[in-house]
Amino acid sequence: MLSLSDICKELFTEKTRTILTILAIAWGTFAIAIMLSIGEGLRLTFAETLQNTGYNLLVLGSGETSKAYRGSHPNIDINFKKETIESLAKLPNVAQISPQYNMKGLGKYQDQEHNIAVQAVADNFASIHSIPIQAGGRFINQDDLAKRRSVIVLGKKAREFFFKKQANPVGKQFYIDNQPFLIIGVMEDKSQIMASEAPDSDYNWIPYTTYELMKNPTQVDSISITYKNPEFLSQTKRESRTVLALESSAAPDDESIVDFSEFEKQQEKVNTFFIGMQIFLGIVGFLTLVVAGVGIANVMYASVKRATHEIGLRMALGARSFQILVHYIAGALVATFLGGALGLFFTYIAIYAIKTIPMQGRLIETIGKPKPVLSLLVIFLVITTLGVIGFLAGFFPALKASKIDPSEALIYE
Amino acid sequence: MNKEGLIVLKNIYKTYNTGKVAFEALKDINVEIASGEYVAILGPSGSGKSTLMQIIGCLSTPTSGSYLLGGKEVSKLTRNELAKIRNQKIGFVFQNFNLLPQMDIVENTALPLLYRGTSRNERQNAAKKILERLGLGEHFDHRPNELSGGQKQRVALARALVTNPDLILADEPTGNLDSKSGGEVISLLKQFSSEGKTVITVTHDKTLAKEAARVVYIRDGRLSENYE
Repeated sequence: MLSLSDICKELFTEKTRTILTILAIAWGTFAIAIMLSIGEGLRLTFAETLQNTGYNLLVLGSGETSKAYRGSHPNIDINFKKETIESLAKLPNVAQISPQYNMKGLGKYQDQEHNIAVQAVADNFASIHSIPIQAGGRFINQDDLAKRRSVIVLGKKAREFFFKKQANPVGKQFYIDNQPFLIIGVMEDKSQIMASEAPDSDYNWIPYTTYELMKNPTQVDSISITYKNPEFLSQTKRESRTVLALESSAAPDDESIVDFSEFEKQQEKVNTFFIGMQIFLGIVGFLTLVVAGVGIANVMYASVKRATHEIGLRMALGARSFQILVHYIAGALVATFLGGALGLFFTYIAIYAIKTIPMQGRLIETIGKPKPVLSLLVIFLVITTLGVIGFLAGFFPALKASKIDPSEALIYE
Repeated sequence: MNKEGLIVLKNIYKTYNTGKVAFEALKDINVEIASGEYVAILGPSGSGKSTLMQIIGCLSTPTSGSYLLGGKEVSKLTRNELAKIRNQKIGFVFQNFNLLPQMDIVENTALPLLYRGTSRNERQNAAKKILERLGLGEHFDHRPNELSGGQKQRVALARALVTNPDLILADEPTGNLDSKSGGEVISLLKQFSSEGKTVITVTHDKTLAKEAARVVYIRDGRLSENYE
């Protein structure tokens, strides 16, 4: 069979046409690769952002009855009690659970004052809501809960307001409604586009036991749960409703007694949207490559016509149809992959350039900075597409070449 | 190889159909050529000698009749089977050399071995050996456009010999050469014949034909051992 260098030599016999075709393929490859990379980058950035809301997270908010049941009336408010937490914790699919009391208070540090939102929660709340804590600090722990310590973890917003660019606020004294709290940790920045109310960075956290000591609340505002297996989510929701119904003498099939905020389905929807977007971008890129593929087929047809006499000679010397077929398909594939390699190289440069562009603003803070990603999947898709187009572009001219009659071709000039 | 009848053509006809008109290029060709013979097929332009050469060289098949090459019937073989026969048993020499301009003379000479699946090293060694024998040892890295006509035809002879074929088919091998170079080519063909190769030259040149041990004449598609 012909060597790669022979095939290249032959291709470059028609230098201008081959170079233009390789550039067309490079452009097509660049178009498909950069579009898929941008799509992939957006999808991954959003996936990460969505994941920051919490993994397998279900937030329960209290509702009200919508129908009469065993002596109770409709429109009765349902309240979560401390016992509700204990009952829900026993459900088989519940992995972690935390109560949540919401309060607003006047935050104060030295001479600065500002209203802040506080959530009184359990030690596993950071894990449930994927709240990262800056090095040098920590979240609430079991000891804080047991000893009902006056400790606070600051959210990003409060940290920025009260401490500006000061090094580490951990260990400092902070006041909420004039009650002192020791700062034990600060939330690390995270992008988040979904939340039941406000993003986590707007909140600050204290132990729920401390809050109970301070305020002696009669009801828990909401409950955060992580579940073990998403397949049993519906069952877990049904069981939770039954637990609440039993405690509140409400109908177990009354859906309005509890409000479930689940993020998994929204995550799936967003993911599906981005996959759809990638498919669209991929199709646009693919069509560009097809146009370039037509260019290759044109070059190969011209090459076969020009080489009719030579093909006849090769056949006279013993080349079989299959060998001629492979020869010309290989030529088309070489041109395609040369263009493809060039296109991928341009893509790498473009991605590098895009990554260095500074991006700022509220949107970027919320969703994070999207970065194009030339992933292995994208490279695989591009190479497969190139292979198919190169093969098809070469196949038909090659088939024509392989059917040449050597006795006629030898007299063809 | 059987000393008698390397090539046996019996009742060969070749008809070309161009539209509604049928043209008989060969009519009832019967000839037997033994191994090691040096035969010239002599005929004027349009006599059918090129068609006969194509059939003998397995580049084309007859419309009817039988062609035994080395005892094997080849008139009904497929394209690929004919390609294999050409590669293994026949060496071609053309009037216009038919060397590939993008290759050096070693690559040109080694081309038939490429289609036999011989490794690159073996191909190169075999080509160099035969080129040296034909006095082209100094020109290995030369391309055809850097050679004289005589040298080009010697490269073509080397390419014809590199597979060690039983039959060498030469179509007007001296047609594009000066008399000195033409003489050298004829000497080489005689030498190959004396070494046991069957050599067939197809020509309209009586001087060249006379160099052969046997001359057969072709006119209007019919073959004759006697000049008419």
